[in-house]
Amino acid sequence: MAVPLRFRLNHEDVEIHVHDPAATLLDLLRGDLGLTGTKSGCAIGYCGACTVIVDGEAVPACLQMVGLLEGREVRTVEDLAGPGGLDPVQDAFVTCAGMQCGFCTPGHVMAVRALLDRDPDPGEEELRRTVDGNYCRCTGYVKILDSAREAVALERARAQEVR
Amino acid sequence: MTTLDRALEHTGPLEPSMLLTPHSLDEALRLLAAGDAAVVAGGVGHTLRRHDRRPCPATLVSVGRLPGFDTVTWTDTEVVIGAGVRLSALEADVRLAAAWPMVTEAAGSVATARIRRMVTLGGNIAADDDSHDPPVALAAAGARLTVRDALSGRTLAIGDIGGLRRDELIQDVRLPLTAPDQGTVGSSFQKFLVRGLWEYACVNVGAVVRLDARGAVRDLSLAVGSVTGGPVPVDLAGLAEEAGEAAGGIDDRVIDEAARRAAEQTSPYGDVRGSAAYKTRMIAEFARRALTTAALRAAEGTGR
Repeated sequence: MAVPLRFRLNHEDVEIHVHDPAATLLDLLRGDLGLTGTKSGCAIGYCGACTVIVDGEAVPACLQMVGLLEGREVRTVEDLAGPGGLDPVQDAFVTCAGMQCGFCTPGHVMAVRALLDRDPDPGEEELRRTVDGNYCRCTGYVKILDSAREAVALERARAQEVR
Repeated sequence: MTTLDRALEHTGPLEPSMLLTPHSLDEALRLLAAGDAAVVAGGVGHTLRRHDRRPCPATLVSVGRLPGFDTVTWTDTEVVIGAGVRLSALEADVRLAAAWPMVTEAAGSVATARIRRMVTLGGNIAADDDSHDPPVALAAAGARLTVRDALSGRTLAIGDIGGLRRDELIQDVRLPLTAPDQGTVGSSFQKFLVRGLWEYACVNVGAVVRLDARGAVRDLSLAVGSVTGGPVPVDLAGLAEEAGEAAGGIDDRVIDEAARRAAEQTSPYGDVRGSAAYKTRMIAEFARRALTTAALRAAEGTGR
């Protein structure tokens, strides 16, 4: 029996009916809602490829039970780019070429986005800790860290433009 | 979902679960009273069970967001940690880090920061997994669990968690506090990871050293995880008295003897993290490190 589930997804109120409240957010996003920007990697919470933002915190969607999302706020990588262009974090990854195959990139982008939402001016240690939460088997992390640093700079510049 | 585990290829689709969301502790306990539902808090353990195609209860009762379930309160004699407190919050609790650094160290060593934001202390304990880190620290600290059913409550030692019934819920975890005029307490949690990060422990050990006002050892405690029946409290009978006779705190002979007993009294199992024989040696080594650090902290008057 499907049960109703109401939450905010990418700034929109959604009400959907889920057959299994114990299913994962990752399966819901990719399989039911067609939001395939969130990638399925290890499915046990370690690789970070499926990182999304729930109530402002980066979490692995593969461990997030959908039934526990009632009334909560979810952001996926599809939410980042808008009419004004890419999000500063996405811009930074493009500028610094912080990817090779690109599979882990949405997870990295969402993890850095969550960090900047919480702390617009994080230190190097915090950036390293954040990047450390996502597996990348291609780059060796140098350009990913460059991208994260660039994201901080772009975020700061954009905030000054708004002022 | 792609899986490389052939054992999982022949299993059918997962049976859907029913999720009930009570709005109070009493309502949650009434839902659990029938005894055929399971508690879910952060949901990580259940999700991993389903991932592994292990049996899952058909009905889940969500308690992770119950009001008042995620608070930490202090009295003169104990700190009471709500079972719904996330491990990330526990790890970041500065006051708890000063009183029981072993507990915040254990909470902060679980999995990854993102997973620690989801996992609750109660869920981590109720999983009754011998390799989980917080129960090892809590066992060494002599913590007590307050558990409730719909009609009454009782307290359990960490080591008795196997006796938690399906109709019961862990309400909070209580850690004792020592009055400043009764000396100092130092504690330390040590986790040995073969790869260095993000995995279950090869060996995990919690240690507590209590010094009296003169600086002499009054009590020692050790608990070892990742062993059969863990966390296992190590019987250190007589050692505190022996150490207490020596002025100037704990000496190496006492620490060596405690480490020897930790290795002797525990039964590690061989797995991908090491053979049983290897783990036995690591238990001794990490018991030594935990006790040494705990003794230093007690002597410095920090980490009560």
